[in-house]
Amino acid sequence: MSRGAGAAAERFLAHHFEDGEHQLAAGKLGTWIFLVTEVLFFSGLFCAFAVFRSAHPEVFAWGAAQLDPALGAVNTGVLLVSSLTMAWAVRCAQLGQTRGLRICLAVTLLCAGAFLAIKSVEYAHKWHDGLLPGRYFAEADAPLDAHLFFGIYFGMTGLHGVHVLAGIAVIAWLLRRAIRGDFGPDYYGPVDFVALYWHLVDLVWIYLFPLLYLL
Amino acid sequence: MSPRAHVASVRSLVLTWGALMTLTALTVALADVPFGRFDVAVALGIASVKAALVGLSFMHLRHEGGMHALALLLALFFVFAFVSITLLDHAEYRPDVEERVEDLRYR
Repeated sequence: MSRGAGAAAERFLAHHFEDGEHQLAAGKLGTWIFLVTEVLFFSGLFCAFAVFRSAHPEVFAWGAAQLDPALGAVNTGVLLVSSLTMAWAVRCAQLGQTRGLRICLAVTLLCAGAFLAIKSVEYAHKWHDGLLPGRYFAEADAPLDAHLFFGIYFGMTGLHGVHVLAGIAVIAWLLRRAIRGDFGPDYYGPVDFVALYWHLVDLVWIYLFPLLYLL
Repeated sequence: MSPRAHVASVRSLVLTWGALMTLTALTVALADVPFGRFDVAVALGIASVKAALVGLSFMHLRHEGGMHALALLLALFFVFAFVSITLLDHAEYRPDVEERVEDLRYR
């Protein structure tokens, strides 16, 4: 352990690392490699979007017109606020601002919940209007194969929603540990790693919003 | 501080967020402007600027790039190859597929 390390850093240092810096660097690289697999994982759906859209442009134009861009835009703003507070949480942890860290994490959690709440309102509307994937599609006044758009829509936003749920779980875990006082300038790796994951969830939505709602 | 890392300033975080919100408003405003075949390019272009801002500022790539940036760029390269080769292939076989679909539909 390098000089001046706190008790928490000592306690959370895994025995196979030289010191806190070593542990942080390894954790960060590991997180980035995980993010790479996430990018490739989502790219399958983005590829499906590209292929189906090029084959059925009229279906995608009609489908996008069924979505509410206002709700999509508000959700984009909500996620961007949560990304700001998450990045700010990392700063607070690095500087040992425990109260700021708790507030930032709590606001991030609130935003994540608000995002899902808005998403569920949208899903309920689509469900009610029969705008569903495959054979559950029940809108008569639609172009041929219009169910394809909603297969893609629910597939992509659904997978993204699952990532938001996972984010809520890990941020809640961070908040619990922050309240316990685990994090400080000598030990803030988990906050940093979860923040990277959360920014990736934001990044996916940055592409999903214009592709699904605006084109 | 034992794990030495860059600490982002509040100013840079808030400025990044402001730019992201502005670009979101811009992409919504431009959605109704018909760019014809460039619609997708405009939407993806703005999204990519936003993605770069998130990566460089929020994800610290500006200050600790190196291996992390390399990993991300490699992933983006493979995504590009994956999507573009699939689209080329799809275009190549499209007439055959459409013929077959018509057959099935009107048989």
